[in-house]
Amino acid sequence: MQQKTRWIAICLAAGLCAGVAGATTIDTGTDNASWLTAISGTQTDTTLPTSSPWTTTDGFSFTAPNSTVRQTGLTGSNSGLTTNGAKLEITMPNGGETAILLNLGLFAGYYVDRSNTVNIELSDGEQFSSAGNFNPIFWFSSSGPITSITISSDIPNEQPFIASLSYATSILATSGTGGTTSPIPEPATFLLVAAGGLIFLGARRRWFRHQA
Amino acid sequence: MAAIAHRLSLAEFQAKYGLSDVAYEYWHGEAIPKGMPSSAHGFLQGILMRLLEEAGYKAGGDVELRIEPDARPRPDIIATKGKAETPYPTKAVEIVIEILSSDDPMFHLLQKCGAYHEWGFEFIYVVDPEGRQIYRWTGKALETVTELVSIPAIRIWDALDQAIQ
Repeated sequence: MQQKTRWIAICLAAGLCAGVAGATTIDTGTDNASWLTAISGTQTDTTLPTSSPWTTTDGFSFTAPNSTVRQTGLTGSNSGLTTNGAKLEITMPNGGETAILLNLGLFAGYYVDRSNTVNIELSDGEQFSSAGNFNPIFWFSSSGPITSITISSDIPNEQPFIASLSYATSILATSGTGGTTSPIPEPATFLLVAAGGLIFLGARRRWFRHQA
Repeated sequence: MAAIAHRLSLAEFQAKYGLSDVAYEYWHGEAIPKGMPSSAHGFLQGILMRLLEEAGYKAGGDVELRIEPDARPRPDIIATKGKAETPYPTKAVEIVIEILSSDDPMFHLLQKCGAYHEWGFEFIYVVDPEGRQIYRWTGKALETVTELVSIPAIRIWDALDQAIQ
């Protein structure tokens, strides 16, 4: 009985380590078909504010760390910010969101001009760039909450804008409602699971030898 | 497309840009240059019009819309199963398509999509011949789709490949 208890402890320890090792996993994409496979449930389309305060009714807020916001969405003829080369920061409500879909771009930029690079940085430090292949759609789906997104461009006289913002629960989310465990384990997780398995096999062998 | 100091009247726009070699669209007091069509753009325009006609639509290219007095966009294609209004459409029809050129200003393009939706166009498409993507404007945003009305995207790209080989 004591041996059985030890097995369980070993297995639990291996599983626990594997769970702890799972850092944030993020999937990204540029089309709607893949977005729909990255979320659980349905998406919510937020209504972008047309005047200050630049906050949506569901709690998303828009700021410009090195400029001033004057517009979100496509209303008016000015871009979202007052300064060329400025960054647009989106802060999420409720401690963060796990899946966001954006329509975005650069105010005077061209759709298929490969030099118009949009840079996106998430609050966990991950960075994405449209360099060489710009697409108006960008989504991410994360195993953990992302609290902010910063959008910028390498082009000094450009200003980023967003035309729409939708959100949902990521299929990768390990917490919250409707979430599931990440289907893409990290290398560290693989190592820990393998180590746990070896310990388990070793202990089992010892137990059989002991029984004999 | 910086913010302009002087807002053009429609008459000023027509006098200044009406006979220009570069196509412009009048858009709420601004003259917005239309992208210079590439070979792929030109062939794709013809292919889409032919496929739409096969699907039962009457399709026209570069038709100036006169739905709102303050805006005169010229989408690459409009298509209807009903009667084509002459000399210029003053109300929305079923389909409007913008084909991307490398120098299409994207903010203006998305604004036009929003206006087409407000005016009552049912199917609003943006087609990217370089990226081989078809987007549909849903009322708030662009989303990628795999067919244009009932025409599969693969059929469109196959026809384009054959045309520009």
